[in-house]
Amino acid sequence: VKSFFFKGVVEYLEGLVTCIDTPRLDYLDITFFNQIDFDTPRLAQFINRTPKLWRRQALVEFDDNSARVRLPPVGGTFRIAISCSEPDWQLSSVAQVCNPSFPPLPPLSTVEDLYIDHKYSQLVWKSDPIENQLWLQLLLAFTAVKNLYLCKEFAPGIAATLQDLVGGRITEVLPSLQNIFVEGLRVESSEPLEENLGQFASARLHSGHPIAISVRDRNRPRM
Amino acid sequence: VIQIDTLPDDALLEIFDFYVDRSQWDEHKTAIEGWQSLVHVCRRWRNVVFRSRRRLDLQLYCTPETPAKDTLDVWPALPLIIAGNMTLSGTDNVIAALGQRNRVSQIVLEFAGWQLEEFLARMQASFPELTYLQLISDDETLPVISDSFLDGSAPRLQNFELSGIPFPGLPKLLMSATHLVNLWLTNIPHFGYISPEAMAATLSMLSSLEELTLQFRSP
Repeated sequence: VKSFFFKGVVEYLEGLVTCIDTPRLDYLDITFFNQIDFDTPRLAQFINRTPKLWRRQALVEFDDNSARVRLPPVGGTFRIAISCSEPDWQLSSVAQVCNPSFPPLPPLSTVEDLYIDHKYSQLVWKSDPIENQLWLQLLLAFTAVKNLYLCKEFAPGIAATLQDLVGGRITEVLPSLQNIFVEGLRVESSEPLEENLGQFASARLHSGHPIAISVRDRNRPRM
Repeated sequence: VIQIDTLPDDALLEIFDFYVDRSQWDEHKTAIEGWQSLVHVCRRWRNVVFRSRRRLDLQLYCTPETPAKDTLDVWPALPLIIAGNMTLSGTDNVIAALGQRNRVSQIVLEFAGWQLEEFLARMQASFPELTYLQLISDDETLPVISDSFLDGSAPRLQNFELSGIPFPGLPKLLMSATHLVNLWLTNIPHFGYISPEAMAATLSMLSSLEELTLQFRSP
């Protein structure tokens, strides 16, 4: 099998991929129905046996009907989505899917460029501590990311999440990070977004893992 | 300048080959049956075309609107494509075309629920030349496809799409479909459930399979 499209519940796919090997697979498209639990250790093992799917760039994207991860962002050889319209459920679901109990989802741990965007017709997204914890859980999967690209709507929540790590946990997520590109960033501003990012960058510098924070140029196409 | 009737048969055949090959980029009736305009030109062209039916991939295209009983006898026994949306018409023409089961190479049909039962009754027999089978229905309540569908065997089947129609015995049929390249099971209803273990065992037998789609109906 070279192409595999699946839409259904986690348990079915987990049962199926336990029993099959597809070494020639070069396109995998998964959509899960909305569920409470998205633990997918067997899917992770299956993908681990399918290195053709791995790519250096990834896109985490949200819209009115689903949340998804796509590698690479354009075209794509691997796409995993959750059918769900509630924003906080979307983030929780995609964070779970990206972090199966064991092993980690292999293609995500090799991603170096990570884009986080949305296509909501109308953004209803509240920034609160629970949401910050979910962003943290999502980012944990991307251990090799060097460049993080954020849309302006998600940047405040993610910046607050990263600021929470200042102290002993500064390299707990995104240990390889070198650059954060933020849409609409005002470098000299003292708004919470810029403050949080500034504190995070400063802490990374002191820990010997410096990062640069720059304005994201939307006109620069994703790879 | 050379008059076309001075061309040898093999040169004519090259031209015809080019003509029908271009036509078949389009899968509709007029394109598939584009060769028919050639055989109407003259007896010699007709002979050249019918002598080369395999090379020119001559096929007849039957739709729910095609008066099959009247037209099928006009032509030589060419492979049949049966395709169309039956929800917009009656079943008579399709049922008549299915009567030529040894010639049917492709079936692409969309049904209303009440039509499916009559169709399935005609499909409880062997269709030895069938390579492409696509059956679609959006109705919520449909009869289940039985294990005797296609007489339990599809040796030449390469493409199979089933959308919205329950077929719990599908793994048994697919065991015989050793040339299957594409398998699309979409809008799978709850009572068409096939266990992942049974599906995996089936897939392991399909060594030519390149594309697999499994999409369950949303809860």
